[in-house]
Amino acid sequence: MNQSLHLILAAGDSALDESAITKLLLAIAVLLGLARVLGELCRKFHQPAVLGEILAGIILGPTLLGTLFPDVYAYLFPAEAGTAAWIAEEGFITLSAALLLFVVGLEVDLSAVVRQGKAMVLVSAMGILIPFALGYGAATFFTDLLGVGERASGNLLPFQIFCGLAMSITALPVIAKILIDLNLSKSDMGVLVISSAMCNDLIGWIGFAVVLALLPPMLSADGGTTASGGAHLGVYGTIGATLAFLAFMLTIGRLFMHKALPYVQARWSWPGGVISFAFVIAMACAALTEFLGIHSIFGAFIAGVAIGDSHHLRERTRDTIHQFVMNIFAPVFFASIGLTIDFRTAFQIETVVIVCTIALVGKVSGCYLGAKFAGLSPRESWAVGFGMAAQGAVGIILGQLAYQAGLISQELMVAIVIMALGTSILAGPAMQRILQVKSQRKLQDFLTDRHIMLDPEASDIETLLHAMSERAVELTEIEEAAIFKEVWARESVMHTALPNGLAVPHARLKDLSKPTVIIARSSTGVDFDAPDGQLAKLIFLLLTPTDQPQTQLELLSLVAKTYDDADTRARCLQVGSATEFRAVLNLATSADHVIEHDNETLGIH
Amino acid sequence: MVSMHMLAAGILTPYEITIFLLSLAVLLGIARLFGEIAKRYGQPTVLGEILAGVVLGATVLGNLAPGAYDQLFPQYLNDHQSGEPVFYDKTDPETGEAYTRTITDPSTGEQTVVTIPDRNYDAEGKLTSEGRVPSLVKVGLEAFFVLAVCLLLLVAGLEVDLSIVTKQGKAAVLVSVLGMVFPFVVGAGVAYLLAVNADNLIGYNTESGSPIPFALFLGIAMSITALPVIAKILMDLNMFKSDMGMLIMSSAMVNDLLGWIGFALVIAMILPEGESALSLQFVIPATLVFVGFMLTGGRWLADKIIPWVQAHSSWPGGILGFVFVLALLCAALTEWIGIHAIFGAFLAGIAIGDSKHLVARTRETIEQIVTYIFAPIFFAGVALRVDFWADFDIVIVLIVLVIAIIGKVIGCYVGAKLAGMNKRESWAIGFGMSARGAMEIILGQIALSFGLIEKDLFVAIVIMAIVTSVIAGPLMQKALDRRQQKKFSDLLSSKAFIPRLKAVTRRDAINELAKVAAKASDFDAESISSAVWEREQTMSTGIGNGIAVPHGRIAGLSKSHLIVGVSPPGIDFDAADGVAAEIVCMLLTPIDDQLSQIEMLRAVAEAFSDPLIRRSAVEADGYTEFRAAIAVGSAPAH
Repeated sequence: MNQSLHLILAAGDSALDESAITKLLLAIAVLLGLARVLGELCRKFHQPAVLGEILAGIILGPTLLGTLFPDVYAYLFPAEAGTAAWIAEEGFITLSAALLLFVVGLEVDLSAVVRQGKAMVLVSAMGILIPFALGYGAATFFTDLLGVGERASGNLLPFQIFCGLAMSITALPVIAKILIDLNLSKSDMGVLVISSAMCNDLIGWIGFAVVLALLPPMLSADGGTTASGGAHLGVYGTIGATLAFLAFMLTIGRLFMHKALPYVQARWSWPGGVISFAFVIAMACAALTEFLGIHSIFGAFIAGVAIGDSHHLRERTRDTIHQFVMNIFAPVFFASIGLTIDFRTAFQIETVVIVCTIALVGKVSGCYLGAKFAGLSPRESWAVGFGMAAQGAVGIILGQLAYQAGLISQELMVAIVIMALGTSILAGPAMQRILQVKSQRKLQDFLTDRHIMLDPEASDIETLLHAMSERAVELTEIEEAAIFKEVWARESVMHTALPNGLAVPHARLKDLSKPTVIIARSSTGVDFDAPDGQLAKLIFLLLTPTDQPQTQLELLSLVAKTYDDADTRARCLQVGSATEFRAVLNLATSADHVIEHDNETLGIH
Repeated sequence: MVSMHMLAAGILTPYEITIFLLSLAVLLGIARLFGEIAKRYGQPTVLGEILAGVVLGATVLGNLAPGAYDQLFPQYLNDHQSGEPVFYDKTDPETGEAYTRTITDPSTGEQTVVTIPDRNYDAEGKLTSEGRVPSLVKVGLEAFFVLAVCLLLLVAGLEVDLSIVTKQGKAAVLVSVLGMVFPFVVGAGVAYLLAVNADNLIGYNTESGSPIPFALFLGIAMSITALPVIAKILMDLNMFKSDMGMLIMSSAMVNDLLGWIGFALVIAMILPEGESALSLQFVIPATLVFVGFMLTGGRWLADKIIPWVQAHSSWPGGILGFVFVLALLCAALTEWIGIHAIFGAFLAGIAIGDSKHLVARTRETIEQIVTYIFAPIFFAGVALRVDFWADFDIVIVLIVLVIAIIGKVIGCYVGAKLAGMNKRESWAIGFGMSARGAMEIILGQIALSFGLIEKDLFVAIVIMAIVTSVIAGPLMQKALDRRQQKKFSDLLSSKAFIPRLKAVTRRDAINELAKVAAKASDFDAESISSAVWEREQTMSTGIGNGIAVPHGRIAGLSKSHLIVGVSPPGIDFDAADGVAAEIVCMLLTPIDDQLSQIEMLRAVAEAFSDPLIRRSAVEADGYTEFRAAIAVGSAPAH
């Protein structure tokens, strides 16, 4: 306390002094940096990024850094409430959570939900009812084992409802990502899963708002009640006001946004006008729900739903907001979860097992039954069940908020985080296995720096293919002669040139363990006898195992698709290193995506 | 006195979170609204944003409705139950001893020990903050402002392109150096003379120690230039890519770079010894080493790392994260060195922005979010706590304004003349470079928070920054005798728009449009329609792609008019490509204004060059959506 006084005082008129600013900036930088790095690592291994982001918090929090280097930990993340840096960090995290839920809300497409009709209602209703009942039951019978928070210990009802909800929630972003990876997002099943998840999300968050409203007012240190936002309204006042707000936002509010957006786009600078408009609405709604006594993120979520539903919101704007929030604010929020909790002491195996079992069994069986009733095949129904079981970020946010509100204990919070991560990791592979589909691969998934040759010394096909085969030796451990023989044999039959300066010499090799792509860039160009007469400047050597006849076609179409864009071809010819080459590829494949979306919203195909 | 326990209570209370989010929403909303209005009248956006702060802050709201002002932007903490003010403890609850701290007078080196609440009395013994604990909302908001200003400077740094500067060579050096030295010498000289004078005419904070850093600061404040404002003016005049435009841009970049480094050194000079962990002997070399490193090794390193990040991480998330982490780390480093955090962010921006591997799309995402979310909140926040009414001192404002404009214009004029520009161009460069804009306001804000200047001088600096930004555009235009390019959306009006044309033939369409034109121009529909039809008969005006531009010169018309009609089925205007016209733009110009017709034709062609825009414009339901379709398409983003 002594120190915190000095900190605040030293600033004189302004509330933050240098040391607080340094700490704030450094803390955010470290949190964001580590969260991003670990998030990327997780993605590399096809895990959800949120896993890495939470790990970053665990590493920087009391679990690791706090134990190993308590001084560093105390400097970066002042545990003592009340210091300026602490309040500032807390404020930033509150804002991050609100913006995160705003983006989650933007992704909910209410009209798509309505269009799906019966099947969607069945899947989401069963997918909520069964896990909810199980969770509610567990909360009733294993109250202490699960760990009720001190604020809820008087009246168990909010705790029971919360446990039910926590088991029945679904993570929209995780599922959407899995479906896109499996190339199923446009299929009937994909749309069904997405819209059920949206419906699920909506019900889950509304239920959670009710739970928060049911909680008794917060107790302050001296036993009196603090001026909690909703205390002045009473429980029923809060619930009533919440439902009124909800009804308003989803009807008139939605209509208003739909009318206001074109106006803002027409009169204000584009796209900045829309971005700030969206943020203002989000923050105003967040402030309102916080005032009503439920959490601020709820308002942000509903604001997102209301705005995101309008087709006047351009994909580009959505994309900018999404990228910024998901890459800057979200990692900080997720990392901050690990900051407050010591995961070693709060880890309780019984709780974790109960929570994981109920969530998985309840959700999978509920959604399976719903999908079966809706007339899907057993295989598809299982896939829907596992897909919907992914709790991801949404489950984690819910757990964190409930813990902060004093609804659940640290142990239960940790169990929920572990369950949310576990189900997210499981969902993708499980769906893939059940449906026996392959995830879509990108060209750069086959590449490392060693796979790219910039300007090898070769001016004719033969020397070039020799050079490339030699490189292939290092990467495949097959003899050069064997590779070259096969490639040359194929090339002699008919040249492998594609239009626009591309060439794809290829061969199937018996002893090859996995498909290999080697790219050579030749600034001068090599004559592959292309029909359009151009010299080949980008040459792709595609080597596939004999037992995977499909892979060759897949690689060929990947090359053609990736280099369809003249800009990408031009960039590849300009790069100065293999890393830059891969950067261009990475960028090209992500950019595709955005453009596709844009055309869709405009109704152009 | 209520004890400190409220601060230790743990999380922010729901009430505080409500106010925090609400104040952000209000600041952003009003700032953006005023910014857009300012833009509508051709003024810099920052003018509107500052005005929003004036309206919401101590100046207007604080005087008219102090209760609401206090609720929305609370200064001090009140106890949650009783509503009583919360004060700092005077004594340590454990030892019972009074808290003390040592204050060192930087000029004499004399040290005095004060008890902590005494810190809250000013020189005349008047209570300042009365020993009250600041509101948590205020702390949160200020933290947001700090982040915002860092990000703002990051974006400013991203815009600096060092390679252009080196290409421009001698001319850029001459203009920027003379454009800095002249106002610097005048500003610093006048400031020194006035500051040592007993009257303290110019708002020098006497407690900040020696007047030398103050004089240096004012010199720098007079010589800085606002890169974004200038860039905007040049784009409006369609001169951004011209030789003169590049010269102005690169001079402004050099100017910015030198100005901020100089300012960092001034800040280092006023740091009281013992206050910071690091002494002056450390701060200045450390600053120079950091600047030197970031402009050489740092730049090189960023250029190597960016492709690596882009290759190995998801796009664009990876690179966004990298840029932010680097900016925040550099900001934390400079803050630790003892100069302000913004320098680090600015230098990080330069190092990153110089790399050609940073794609336009990434730059754009960062720029959009920062310019439209963080910047408005920051600029409104700048004006929030200052009472522009009470602290307005006409003498200071005039002194600052005169030095700023005359010093800069003359300095740059001489520089440009020496570099071989003609007279007219030299004047234009002088006026253009005198725009101060946002950067000057940031500079003033930091000087104020470091206690270097008084509030009245801060007010004068803000006014000067706004005035110079407002006049720079028109003066340049006048000096060059150039007119601003009109965009299609500037010509559109809801009164001159027919969402669905009833006509199916050329003749009827022209009649229908002429009727609307008659209302807008107070001219009779008959004569308009016959003039346009006469022209139409000589040669049809379908220009292809579903666009037609019937037009006419009308004797006695006071100004040009554009009337737009949409016809989804299409009207045959006999276009060369055989496509029926879905969008008919009727152009009416005064008979003596030859240029205007060509300009309008160009604007129409430009607005509808993209098939996507044509399509969404035809499908638009009503005027607002039509306008939105054009606005979205003509944004520079594409």
